[in-house]
Amino acid sequence: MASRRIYVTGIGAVSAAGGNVLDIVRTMSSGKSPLARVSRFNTSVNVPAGEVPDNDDALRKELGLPGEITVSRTSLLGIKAVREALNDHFKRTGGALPGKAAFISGTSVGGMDLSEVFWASCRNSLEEGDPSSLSVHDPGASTDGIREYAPDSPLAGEFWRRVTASSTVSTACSSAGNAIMLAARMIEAGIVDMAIAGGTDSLCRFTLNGFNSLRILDPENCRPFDISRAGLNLGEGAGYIVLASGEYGGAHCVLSGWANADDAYHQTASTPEGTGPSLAMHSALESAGLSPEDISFINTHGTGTPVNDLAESNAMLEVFRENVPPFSSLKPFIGHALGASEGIEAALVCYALSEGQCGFMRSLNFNTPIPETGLVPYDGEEIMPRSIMSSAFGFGGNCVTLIFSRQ
Amino acid sequence: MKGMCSIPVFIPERPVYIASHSCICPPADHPGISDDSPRLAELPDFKQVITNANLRRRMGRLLRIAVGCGLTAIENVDSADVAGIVTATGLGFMRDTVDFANILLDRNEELLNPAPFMQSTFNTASGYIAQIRSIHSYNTTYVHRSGGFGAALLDSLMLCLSNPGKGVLAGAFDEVTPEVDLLRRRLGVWRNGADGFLPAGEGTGFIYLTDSECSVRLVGLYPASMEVDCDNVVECSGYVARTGVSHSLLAVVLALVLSEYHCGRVFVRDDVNEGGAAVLLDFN
Repeated sequence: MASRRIYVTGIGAVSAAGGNVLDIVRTMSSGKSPLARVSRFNTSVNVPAGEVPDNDDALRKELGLPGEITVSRTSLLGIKAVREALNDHFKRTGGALPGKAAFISGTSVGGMDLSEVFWASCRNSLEEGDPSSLSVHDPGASTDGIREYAPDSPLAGEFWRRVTASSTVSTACSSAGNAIMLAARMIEAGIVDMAIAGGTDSLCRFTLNGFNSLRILDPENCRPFDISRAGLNLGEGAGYIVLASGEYGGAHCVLSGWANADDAYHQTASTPEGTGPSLAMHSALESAGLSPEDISFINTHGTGTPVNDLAESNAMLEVFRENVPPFSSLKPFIGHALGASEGIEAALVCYALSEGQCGFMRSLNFNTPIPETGLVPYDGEEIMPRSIMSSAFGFGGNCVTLIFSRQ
Repeated sequence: MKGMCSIPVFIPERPVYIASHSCICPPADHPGISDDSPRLAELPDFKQVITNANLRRRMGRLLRIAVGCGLTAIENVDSADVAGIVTATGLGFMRDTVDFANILLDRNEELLNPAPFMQSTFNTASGYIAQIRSIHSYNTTYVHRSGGFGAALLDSLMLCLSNPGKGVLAGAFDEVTPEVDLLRRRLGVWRNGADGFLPAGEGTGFIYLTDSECSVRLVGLYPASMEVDCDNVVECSGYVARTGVSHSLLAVVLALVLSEYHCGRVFVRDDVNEGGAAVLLDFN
C-alpha cells in the first residue's frame, strides 16, 4: 500500500467533447458523440475522429501566445489542460506551493503535427523547407513547450520554478497512465512532494494513416464492448492531474493504487485472455490494499477494436469473476486520444469521485454483448463511487491500471 | 533543441549494483574528431539472443540493435527475476518514422504497409525485449532527448529499491540516418565550435541493476551540471571521436566505462548534451 497518501488536488482536460473538464462532462451527459470527419488537415482517410474544434491559431490566441514562436499543437493542447489543472489545484488548496515538484508528461508522437508539415514541404530535397518546425519534433520538446508557456500567473510561475524533475513518457496509448504512475512513485519516494502528470497528443496524418494501415479504424462511430464493434476512432487532446502529498481537504480524491504490466505477446495486439491487462489490474489492487469488491466502477480502455475489448473483458472476468462492477468506455465521446487518453480519462474519473456521480460516464453505442463474455457496460443508473479503476493499454503490450478512491 | 528536462539528484538509500552491461557502438579505430561523418555501430549477428530468424529479419536496424543489446545484458538472468525493463531514446526509430512519413505522401495515403508505423513507436524495443523473454513485469520508455536516459535511471533505481532480490534492465538507443544527420546540421545541433559539427553517432548501451552485491555499485544519479567530489571524472566528450554524439551518449559511454575501468570511484558525465545526466560508480 502507498506509504504516503497521494491526493489529487487539481484536474484539467481538453478533448473533442469540450475545452475543459466541466464542458466535457456536459457533452457526455447530453449523450451526444462529438466525433466527426477530420477537418483541420487534408486526408483521404474518411473516418470519424475526435478533433478539438479550435485550430492552432485559435488555441494560441486563447492561450495568449505570440504567433512567431514554434510550438506544436501537442504542446498547445497540453498547455491548456495543464493550466486548468494547476489553477484548479490553487483554488482547492488556497494556493499551495510545493517544496519540489515534478512535471511528467506522456505523448505518443510529440510534435509530429508540425514535422509532417515540414515533410510535405521538402518532397524534392531535404535542403528545402523551414526546418525550424522540426526542432519540436521529439516527444521531449512537447513537454518542454508546455513547461515554457504554461505559467499564466505569478503563482503559477512560482510553481514552475519549483519543478526540479521533468520528463516525457512515450509508451503509445498508455503514455499518460505511465506518467501518472511515475509521478506517484516519485512522491512516494520523497523525491518531490507535488507533481503535474498526464498526457497530450494531437491528431495528425501520420497516426491516422498508421492506424488505418493496421486496419483498426472503424469507418463508423466506435461501439465498445458491442458484438458489432469494428475498430477505434482516433482522438486528440490533453489531460493532467495534480498530485500532492500531505493533507488536502479540498482534494478531488486520492490516487490509491497503480501498476504496470506487460502482455509480452505481440507488438500491436493483446492476448485474447488479456494476460497483461489482468496482471495490471491485480497488481494495482494489491498496491492500493483493496479487494476486487472494493471497486465500484471501472473506466476501461475500451477502444472498440475486436481484440482489445475481448481481452479487456476477459481480464475483468478473471479479476472480478461473477461480480464485474459497472464499467464503460469514454472513447465514443473523446475518441482514442492515444498518449493523452489516460490523462483525460483520469481527470474525468477524479471528477466522478469528487462529485460522487458516474452517470455522465454511461456507455454509448452499445446494443448486444460480446458472446464470449456476456458483459453489459454501464447504463447510467446513478451510483455513488467509492473507488474507480481506470486502465490504458498500449502497443508493445504495455498495460497500466490506476485506482482512484474517495478521501 | 533546448535541454529543459530536469534530472533530480537521486542517491539510493540502499546499495544498487550493476550486475551486467552491454554496448553496441562504433569501433575503436576512428578517423578523429575533425571528421564529422556519422559513426555507425559494429553489429554482431544477434542469433544468440534473437533466435527467431524471421523476427530478426523483420526488425529495422535500430530495433535489432536495441533489442539485441538489451537481451545481451540479461542473457544470464532468469526472466522471473526481472522486475522491470526501462528504455530511453532521443529520437527513436527515425528510419521507420521517415519511411512511413514519406510513403504516406508517395502513395497518397493508399495501401500502406503498417510495419514502419508499428516500429516507429518509441517503446517498440522495450516491448520486444519483454515479448522475446516473456517478461510480464513493469515496462516503460522515456523520450526526452538526453534527459530520457536520466529519467530511465531514476525510474530503474526506484524500481530496484522496491523489488529486493530482483533486477531492472535500463538502457538507451539512438540511430543516425542520412536524414537525421542532414537535418540536425540545418538546425545547428551538436556543433563543434562556431563553424564545425561533432559527428553524430549510432549506438546503444544497457545495464542490469540489482540490489544483490556485485563488483560495481551505482552510487548516485545527478544532473550533468552538478559538481561531484570524485578524483576520476570521465567526460562523454572524450569518447565522441569514436562514438559520435546522440541523445543516448551517456548510456553508450557508461557501458564502455564498465568494460574499461576496474577500481575506484568514477564519475561519468554527459558534458555534450544539454540537460544530460551523470552517474557516480564505485568499482571494488
